[in-house]
Amino acid sequence: MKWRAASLIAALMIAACAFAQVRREAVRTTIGIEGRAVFRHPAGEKVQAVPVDDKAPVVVRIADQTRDGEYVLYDLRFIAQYAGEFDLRDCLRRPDGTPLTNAEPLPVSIGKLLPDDHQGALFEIGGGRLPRLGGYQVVLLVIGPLWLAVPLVVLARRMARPRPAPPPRVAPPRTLADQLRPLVESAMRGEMSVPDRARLEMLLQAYWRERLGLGAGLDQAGAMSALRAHPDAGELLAMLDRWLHRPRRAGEAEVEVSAVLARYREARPVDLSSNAAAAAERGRA
Amino acid sequence: MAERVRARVARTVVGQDTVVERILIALLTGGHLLLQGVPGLAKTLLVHSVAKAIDLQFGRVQFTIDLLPSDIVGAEILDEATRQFRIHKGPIFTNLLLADEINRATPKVQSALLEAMQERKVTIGNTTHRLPVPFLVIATQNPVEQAGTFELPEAQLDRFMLCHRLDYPTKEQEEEVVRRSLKLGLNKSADGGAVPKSAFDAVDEGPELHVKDLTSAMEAVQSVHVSDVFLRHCIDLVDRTRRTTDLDLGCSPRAGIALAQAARARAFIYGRDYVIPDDLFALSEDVLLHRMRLTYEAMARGRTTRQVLRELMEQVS
Repeated sequence: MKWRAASLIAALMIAACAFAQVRREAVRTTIGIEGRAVFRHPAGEKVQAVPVDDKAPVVVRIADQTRDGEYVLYDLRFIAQYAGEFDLRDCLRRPDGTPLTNAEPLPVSIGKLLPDDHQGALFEIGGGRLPRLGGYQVVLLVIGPLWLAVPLVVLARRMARPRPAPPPRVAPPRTLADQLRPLVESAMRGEMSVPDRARLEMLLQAYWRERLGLGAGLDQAGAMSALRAHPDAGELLAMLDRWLHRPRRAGEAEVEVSAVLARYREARPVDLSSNAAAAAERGRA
Repeated sequence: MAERVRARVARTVVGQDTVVERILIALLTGGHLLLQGVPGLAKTLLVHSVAKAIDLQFGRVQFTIDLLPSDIVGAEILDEATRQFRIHKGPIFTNLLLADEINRATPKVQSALLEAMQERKVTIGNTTHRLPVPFLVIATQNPVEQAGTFELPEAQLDRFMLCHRLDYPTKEQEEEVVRRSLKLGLNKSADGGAVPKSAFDAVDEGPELHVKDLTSAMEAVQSVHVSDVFLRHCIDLVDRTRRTTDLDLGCSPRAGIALAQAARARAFIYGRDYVIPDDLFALSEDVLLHRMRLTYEAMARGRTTRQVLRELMEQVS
């Protein structure tokens, strides 16, 4: 009886050990993440990884191998492309290409990182803060009239603004002739202050410079030389020199200015276009 | 007098009649002259010729950055023989001093010279010395190569009665300059050596005039009549430089004085005993331009002091 019980216990233990060998726990990893497993195989028989293509569900490589008595321990690294249960034994073979059907099974379990219903989107796009009112056409229909309304409003306001009153008529600037006339009359009457005499002299010079077109491109000194060379202007300037600048010699009569200045009492404004033509003529000469 | 000096100077210097006229105006009025022009326009030769023609002592100082006031004015030095200090007079003790490139010296040296110009005396040690009479400074400035120079401030520019801007000679004048230089020949020495003659070697004739002739001419200038109307023109023009918006700095009363005095000397040179507006117009740029300073706005608009002055002169009209 004792012998039977002992035999039964021994048989149960052997069976349990065998079952444990058969039901070896599977190595777990996920898709795309490299996993590691150790494969034990008799040393007399060489093992190599089955060549793979891009369709293979699991890619295995032998990273290292170590002798363990009668066996060799192969350090296997694998990456799976699909989720599921696989036996790495299928990915190994003998050098002659025959499968290792007699070897111990080497199960691996490949899990998924994403849920089954995942659509493949990398980022979750949140909704806008405001609810979208219609599509692009609706937006155009709303914004477009507003955009067109702005210039119309501006234009309307501008047209509605009262028009400014026309500028008051400004009297034309006094011509040299206008300025000369009262000074000449004062001179002929013999009633002139020093500032008026100085002004009269400069106005007469300016009158002749304008009349002879000597204004542009010629400095005052050059213009004076040209005026002195002119018969009429030269005569006037000589008279002004005698009258205004030269000291009166003993027994010398006062300079008679009326006759010369009388010509300038009714002096006409100078026609500047004819001056320009005259200046151009001189330039060509 | 002016014609004789001009004729003498014309023997060595071609053209530059206006500069000779300005030097004579400065001599006749006791003013000082600033010449602005690029190198090589015969400024030194011109001044040397004028000095020789009037029998004036002539001195020349090349202004550099390391020049000291004592290099111009003079200094007290210890005489080893007598064991006493004695005065060593500087080159400023002359009648006609050419201060070449005055803007290259430091402000300290510039002001030492300009003070002497104003006061006509210098102090060395404890002794004040009067400068020779007549005393005229002709300073030069190069309008280019302004790096490393010290621009004369307006207050010191105002001390110059005239500032004339020299221009290049005409083609005909330049041809004559070259032609003359080709005929100068060689200077042979007693030991058989020779060097080419320069234009300065041609300035060795006796004087055309003497200092007493210059003094007589200065007296004559003093008697040239300046009418009230002419004075009015001068004052109006100077006043307008102060009121125009284009100028930051208008002309000082010294400008009006210089204008009237220079006009008198010009009238004398042209044989008149009274001034006329032509004198005013001919001299206004040389008397007024260096005393005017443009505003930054006017400068930004590309205006020049010459443009502004010409407009002001037309406004007087």
